[in-house]
Amino acid sequence: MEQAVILKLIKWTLIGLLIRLLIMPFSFHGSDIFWINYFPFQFIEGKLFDPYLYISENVTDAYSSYYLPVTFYLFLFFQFLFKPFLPKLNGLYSIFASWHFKWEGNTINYADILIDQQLFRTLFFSKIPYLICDFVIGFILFQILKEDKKKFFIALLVWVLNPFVLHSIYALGQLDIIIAMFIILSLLAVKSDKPYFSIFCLSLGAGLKIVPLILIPALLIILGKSWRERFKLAVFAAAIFLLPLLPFFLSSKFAVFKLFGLHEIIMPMRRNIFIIGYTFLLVILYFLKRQNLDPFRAALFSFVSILLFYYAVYDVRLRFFVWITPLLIIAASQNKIFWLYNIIFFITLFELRAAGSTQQWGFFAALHPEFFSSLPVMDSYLNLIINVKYIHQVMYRLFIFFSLTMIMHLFIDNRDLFRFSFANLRKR
Amino acid sequence: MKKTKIIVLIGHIFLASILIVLVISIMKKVPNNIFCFLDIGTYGVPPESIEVNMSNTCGQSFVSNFDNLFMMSIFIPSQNLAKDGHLCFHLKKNKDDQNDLVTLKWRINEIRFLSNNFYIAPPDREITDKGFHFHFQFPPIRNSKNKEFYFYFDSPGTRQGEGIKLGLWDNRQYYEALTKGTLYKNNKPINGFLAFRTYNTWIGNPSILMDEIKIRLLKDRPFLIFYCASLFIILTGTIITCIKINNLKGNLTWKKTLH
Repeated sequence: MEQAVILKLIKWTLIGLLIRLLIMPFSFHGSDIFWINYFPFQFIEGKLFDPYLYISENVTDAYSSYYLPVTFYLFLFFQFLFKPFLPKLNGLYSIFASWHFKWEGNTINYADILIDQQLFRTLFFSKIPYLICDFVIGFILFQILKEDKKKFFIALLVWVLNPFVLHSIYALGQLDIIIAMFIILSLLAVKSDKPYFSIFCLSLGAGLKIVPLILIPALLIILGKSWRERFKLAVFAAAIFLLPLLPFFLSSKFAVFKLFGLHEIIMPMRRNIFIIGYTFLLVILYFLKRQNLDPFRAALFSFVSILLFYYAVYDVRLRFFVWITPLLIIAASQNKIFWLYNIIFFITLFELRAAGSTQQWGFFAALHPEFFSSLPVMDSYLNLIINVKYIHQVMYRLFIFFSLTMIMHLFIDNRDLFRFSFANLRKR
Repeated sequence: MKKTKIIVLIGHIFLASILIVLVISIMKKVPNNIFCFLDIGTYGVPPESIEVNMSNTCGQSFVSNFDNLFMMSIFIPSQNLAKDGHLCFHLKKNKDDQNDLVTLKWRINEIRFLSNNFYIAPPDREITDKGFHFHFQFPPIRNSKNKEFYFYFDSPGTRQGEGIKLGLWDNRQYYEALTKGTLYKNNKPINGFLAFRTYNTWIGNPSILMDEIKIRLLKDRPFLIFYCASLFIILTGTIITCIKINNLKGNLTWKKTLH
């Protein structure tokens, strides 16, 4: 590789690292990051072995649950690594638990009460797993786009400054970048013609949060050359997904499966629309060409379409949107017009889902709880002119409209992948 | 090319004029004190209510988690508010204290949802068709951190059935940061919690702020040293890389010129 390219790569990597390091120790949102790490820490201390059993027996709140078991194992590993650097973690989690389980503290409460328990270093070390995944994604983007240096540098620049990642992962402390990493790793495996590894990555991603499971049927259709092969891949996916659940099933029977009912908080009508649309998308994928199919393009199209449809009709939060951002960057590198959609998604979702104080200045409460939590948010000013509720409604509708438009646009762009494509019709 | 430039220029002027109009239109509405945060919070529609009238007072004790308590709200379930009569709010150091720290009084027909509130709680959580949170302010109570307070509502002169209903939760799990609190009806403790919120403000200046941030940072000196060293190394690396890239560009330009 040319020296100039390597230097440019190093420069942007360092800039990305610098921005992330500036945010890491000083920001968090509510109990999120402490909750993720609480049960793995209790396990290491030998106090509590099964979070699902503990929650089912002790927590009355119907919506309280821990993440799926892969999250538990992953953070157990990192807790084990970082424990020597965090001597006050025991005190921190005792105080956290007393507040979280009894009084439901908010960002400002935790920033106030945890400062004497090495809060900054705890936040810093808790986010190192995210930093590793972040760099892995950067590397995968390089692997996918390395043939065109210009495209790659634009993609890298966007990834380095990605507002969704900086906000939801480093500022709020959510773990969704790990899922994003597994999704894009799966895509890279498709490109490298490794179907089992691709399915393995998606199943592991679904082991953190269940939603990536919806991508697996699409991948089975694309990668399986026959029904027999698809069945084998499906069994493999089920095994990878269910295996981490087994120890907890043996320990607490069905407590671990309580997790699957959490999305019942979504309106049934939305759920039904999603199921119908999702089935329709899978049916369309069945009409992919069998010969000379580019599985990478097909997988990218299906992942982006399914996830966008999920966000549009089912549930969209900034942290969930992180899953799709590397895919959108690849899509936009292939067709410049998709950058426009990305900008619209950024504007609509940030106005819609980052409206509260704890999602703006408030996440810097660790530095000074009262000052940063009390700074006015953008909506405070807008609310003087128009009820922000209406602005949010407009933003949500715009998001839905442009998500569906992008799905259509992607379909038209990739029409040559299908047996019934317009291009084929024209040729006839 | 010229045409595009003119269109871009007009676009910028248009956007700038909109921005100026917006700034002017809200300038007078922005309160003098812009700092506000939610301490004890509750959202949603409480299932029960309690009527305050001349024979029923309703009070609640709580502990403020921060200094400078300056605003509160109470959930008013949907009801006919076009009535005569008054609603009074009293805030005290404790239930048995003779003096009020704050006394406020409103006509019942003046109580309504403040739609252009600057100090918004998460706006999507304000369900206004089943009721609303009625916000009211008072001068900040300094040193309120970790202190217990008691507030109560009364409505002198309104008969049974003509008073005003206030929202009531049956369980503490609907609250954020309510560490301690008891509901009182006519000064006697009963089960439940008034659906209320408390808000605090920040009072200070930049130098105090910087000092307080410094104190918090210095609570973990070893980490601060490690962190600053890491930042320094990365920053130095970035600068060196930028210099090298510039040198390389310079060399290329020089070679091209020679060529």
